[in-house]
Amino acid sequence: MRYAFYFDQTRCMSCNSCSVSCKDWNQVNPGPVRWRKVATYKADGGPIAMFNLAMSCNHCEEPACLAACSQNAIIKKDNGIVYVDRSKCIGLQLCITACPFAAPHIADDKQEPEQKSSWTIAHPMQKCDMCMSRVEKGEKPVCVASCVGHALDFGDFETLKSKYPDAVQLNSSDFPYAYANNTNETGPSMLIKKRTRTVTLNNGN
Amino acid sequence: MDSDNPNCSSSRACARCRSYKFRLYHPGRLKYPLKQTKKRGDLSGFVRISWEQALDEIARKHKAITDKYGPEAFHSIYACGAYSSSWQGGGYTGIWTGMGGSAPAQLMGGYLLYTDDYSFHQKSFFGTYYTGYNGSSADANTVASAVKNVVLWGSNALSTVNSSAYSEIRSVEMMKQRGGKVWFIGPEFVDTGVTLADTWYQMKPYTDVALILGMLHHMITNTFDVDGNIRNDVDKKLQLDVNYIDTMVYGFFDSPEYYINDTTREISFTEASGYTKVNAVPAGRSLSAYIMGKDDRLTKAAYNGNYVANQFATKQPKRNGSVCSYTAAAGDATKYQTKKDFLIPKTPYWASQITGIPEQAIKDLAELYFNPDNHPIYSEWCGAQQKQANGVINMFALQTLLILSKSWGMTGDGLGRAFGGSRSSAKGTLSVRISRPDIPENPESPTISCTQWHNAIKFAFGDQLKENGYSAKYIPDWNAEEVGTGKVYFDDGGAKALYKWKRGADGKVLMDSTGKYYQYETEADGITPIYSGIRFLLNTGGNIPMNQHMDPNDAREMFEALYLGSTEPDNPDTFCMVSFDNFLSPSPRWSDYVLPAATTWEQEDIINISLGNSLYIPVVSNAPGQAKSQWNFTNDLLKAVGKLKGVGTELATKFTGGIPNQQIEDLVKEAFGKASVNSSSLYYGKKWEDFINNPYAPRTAKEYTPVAITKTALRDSLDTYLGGDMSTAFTGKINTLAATSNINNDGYGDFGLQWDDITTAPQPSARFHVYSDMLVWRYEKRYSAWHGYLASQGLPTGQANKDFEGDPLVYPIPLYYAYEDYFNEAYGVMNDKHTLDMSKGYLLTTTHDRYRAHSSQSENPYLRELTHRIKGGGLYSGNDWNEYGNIGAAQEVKTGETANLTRLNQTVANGQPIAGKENVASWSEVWMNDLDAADEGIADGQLITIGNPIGDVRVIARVTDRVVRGFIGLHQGCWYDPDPVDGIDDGGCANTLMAQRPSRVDHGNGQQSAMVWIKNK
Repeated sequence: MRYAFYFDQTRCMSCNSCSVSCKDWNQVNPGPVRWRKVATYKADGGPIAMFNLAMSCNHCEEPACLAACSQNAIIKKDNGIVYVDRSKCIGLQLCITACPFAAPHIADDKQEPEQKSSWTIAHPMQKCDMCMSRVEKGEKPVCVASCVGHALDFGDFETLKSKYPDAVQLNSSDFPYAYANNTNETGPSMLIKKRTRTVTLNNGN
Repeated sequence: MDSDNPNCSSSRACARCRSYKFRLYHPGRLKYPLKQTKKRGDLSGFVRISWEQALDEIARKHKAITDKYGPEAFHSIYACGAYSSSWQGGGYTGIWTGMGGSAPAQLMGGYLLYTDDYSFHQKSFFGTYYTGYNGSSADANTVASAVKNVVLWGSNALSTVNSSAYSEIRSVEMMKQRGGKVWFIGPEFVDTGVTLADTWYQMKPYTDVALILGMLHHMITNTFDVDGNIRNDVDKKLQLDVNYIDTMVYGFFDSPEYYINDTTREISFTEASGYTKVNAVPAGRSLSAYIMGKDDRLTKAAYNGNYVANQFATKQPKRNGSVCSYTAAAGDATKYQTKKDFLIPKTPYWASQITGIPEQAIKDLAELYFNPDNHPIYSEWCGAQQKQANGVINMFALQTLLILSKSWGMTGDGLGRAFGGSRSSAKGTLSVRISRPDIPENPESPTISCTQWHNAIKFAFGDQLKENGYSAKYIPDWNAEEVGTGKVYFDDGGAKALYKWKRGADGKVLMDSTGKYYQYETEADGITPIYSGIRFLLNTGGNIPMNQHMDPNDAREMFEALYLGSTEPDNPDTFCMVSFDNFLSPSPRWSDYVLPAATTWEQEDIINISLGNSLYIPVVSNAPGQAKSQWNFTNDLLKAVGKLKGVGTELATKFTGGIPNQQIEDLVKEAFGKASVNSSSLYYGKKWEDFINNPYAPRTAKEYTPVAITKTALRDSLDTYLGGDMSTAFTGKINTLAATSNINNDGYGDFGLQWDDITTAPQPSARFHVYSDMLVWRYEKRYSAWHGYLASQGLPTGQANKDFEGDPLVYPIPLYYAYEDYFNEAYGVMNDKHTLDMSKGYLLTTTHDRYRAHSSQSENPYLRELTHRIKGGGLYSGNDWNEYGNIGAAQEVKTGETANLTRLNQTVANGQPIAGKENVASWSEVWMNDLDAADEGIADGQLITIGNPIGDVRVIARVTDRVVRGFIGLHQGCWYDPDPVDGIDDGGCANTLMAQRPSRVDHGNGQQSAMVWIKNK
């Protein structure tokens, strides 16, 4: 078992239902930290910015964040979910530079006004945990369950691959814009049906 | 999961519902009734009062005003954000709807009604009443299986119709698998375009008609050579079907006056029984004459080839009697570009200069529409396309294109909005009804456009406004000297029909002795009429007065120049506005009384989920403080009114269905009780607890069924006729145009029109109309039966069809009304108040994004951060959580103290973040073209001021390649929040930039039309 996300780039209309439901479900207050982000990129010869990407932590096979963390605060479970034990984080932020996708986040005092007693610092790292508590109950992550365009799916990596034969694993040659920090190969558990259709402006003349 | 099915409607919540927690528990929520004690709009003037005092004073004020000025002086303003569902009574705008009737308003003695709405005013007004266009709308099955091309005329459907968004995505996906294409036309490549379109026609806003005229010019020149002969060197598929046009279309070419047999459609030129007179389309006045301008080829084109043409030829041998004969009274000196264009051929080149779309692309689009091989073509109009200064004309031109290109009469060939999936019929839905048998009818009175409430206030209080210094400076095409009781701005949308009417015992208004005019009540002198206008405004859960209508600067000046109504509850001569709402948003802020309302989640109701089942929602969260449900507020207000009328609780009891204080839950329990013992019900044998824990009975989507393309009977017989020798009359007909048939009705879409004389009304031709003298006739005659006082004074009745040069405002054909003219009118250039350098102006529209429901949730931090930024910040950098809209403090003030609040946003002052708030103070984004931004030296994230003679807003530039050049997009729904010092709106309310001038023909809201200048960067 290796849990993964699937994203259909042809269906995403960048409505942000996923990113807002994520904040709501995971009790991330209003403010800059968003575990899941939706953005639109200009790419693949398209004349304008029109390639949507809704992405969170990709729960990699070889998580760069995990490798970088000297405190063992980042854990990969047998089911593939990568999560952070926030009580172990001491704020070194090595994970932040290591992650190709900028998935780990640090809040500020406004967004995270209260420090929990188990934390050693005011704002330990936080990130997507694939809605672990939901998944353990047999539910889908809230982003997947809330996707209006049916562009997101979730399940076992291999099962998703056979369910969506058009999909490819997230990679830096097809999706360079997904790689915010570096292009290190980490084995992201993220399958994408790539959008190939661009738009013609006027009649192309 | 039925996600392969294009009919799938998952009813998945969008970002707004996902954000609701921060709305429910927002610190700015209204908790207590407030009364303004200083001046309207002064946040420090509100004092907390009890519900009992509030309702007593409101009831007294209502009584004082309506006793003196009649029920027509009471208006429940259009309120999109109403909490109550249509189930509670009224239309989709809730219990207090002013459209068609409202039980509580009628129980209070009646009120002034409005027609149409702020979403589709122009479309609702025009309908297909004037053209007879009869294309079909399409559903998901049709798009998925039959349609070949979808043309999105600016569609924003994926954002605005969330419930059918997936269905639309999926059906287009299936259409494309068959090789279908999607075309998007518009200035802003919204998410719908990004997700669905193959081609983006980068059109400047407000230029749809020019585009269509350029397309039609191309088709005319593809069809006729310069000598008027039919060309043989062009594929017939890329030509106009002239025989079809002669047979089925009125007004494309000039034509003589004639009589048409009501049964056989034979044409005669002498009057006879069984024949209807059809007016001439005078020489040079037809649509094609206008399109060709001074090009004379159609004056040489013979009328022949089919029955109609042969008949016409006996009176008029050539198709057009002359070149374009529309003229300007001022001749070459006219200030109107529209009139300068009369003699210009509307070539694709001409259209390309106006629209920004390359000439060849215009020709290609014309051939897409006219080539039969490309059909069925589904054209999707959108709200913004019609919500413009000339939105009615956009609808007229689009229907004209579809008529001429035969985009009708075949499955999938038509015009509509979002094509969502359909669901199976509801099985086992709990049917809950309320019966209110004793609701009195509303007293007869004129029905005004929903947008003309402000004019109706000016009609009533003009003298008081003048006395108190109202300058009309935010309506540059009006003058302070023209302000006065009984006078209106812009003639007139019904406002000048608002006298106190003389009614008989049956409530009907009496006619005068001539039978032409209604009788009105007068002052003691027996001459001066009593000007009712609007004097008491109830605003239940809406933000029209100060935010969602054009020009809040003008509304502010008006409301502040009217004496406060709340200081003297028994005075009939002061205006009063009561708002019932969740937040002290702009309209409550400028009200006399503010009453706290529960949100949807804090009151029980029965709602219809779009594409879903009706759903009982119990209270899931308690309302804060003393906030009430709409049901209980209404019940309590009716008790207060009943007490004053000496009828005790009778009115309230009639509202709650005959049982005092009956709650919705009582009705649901009763219905459930019946269902639980009915063996055919879904709820048979269930317990109340089972139901209440899971009240949603989901429907399943209809199965996907491919659709066969068929023709309507009319189209079928027409095609057969056109395939024959066409020597005799074609007997098929377009049904009588609704614009004519409903002339004696007050029906929806008809503006409650009353005419002093209908015998002069033009008659329909039994063909499609692309020339509508009816449009002009109705404009000029509208409301004339209510204008008896004006007639008695020798003043004009109806609506003056005159622009600043004395030429018509309304012509019978879809002219291209140049947008420059609108701005020259609305911004006071035509009347010499201002000069404008349009070469430096940007065209602005205000589309809906997903992150507000109109202006609801403008306060919500989860949503604000998606559309707002801090100064110099990137995407999603705004974070004024707990600091924006936190004006709940105004209601916590103790007796004798005042709140020291001046505005909604407490993180900005003087156009800058307050010290220490640099990382949170946020402004709304505007979308601006990247090349324009480079030319202006504006960086992404930069705080700028944009404005025009109507108002100024501070906003943050979002630099993007998804809007055309010369354009700025400011999404609608932000709350008006003028800086107390410089008056610039830091809230970014798009309406701050929108002129009061109503849209052409319908007197609607031209809220997608503005030109702005970058004033500070």
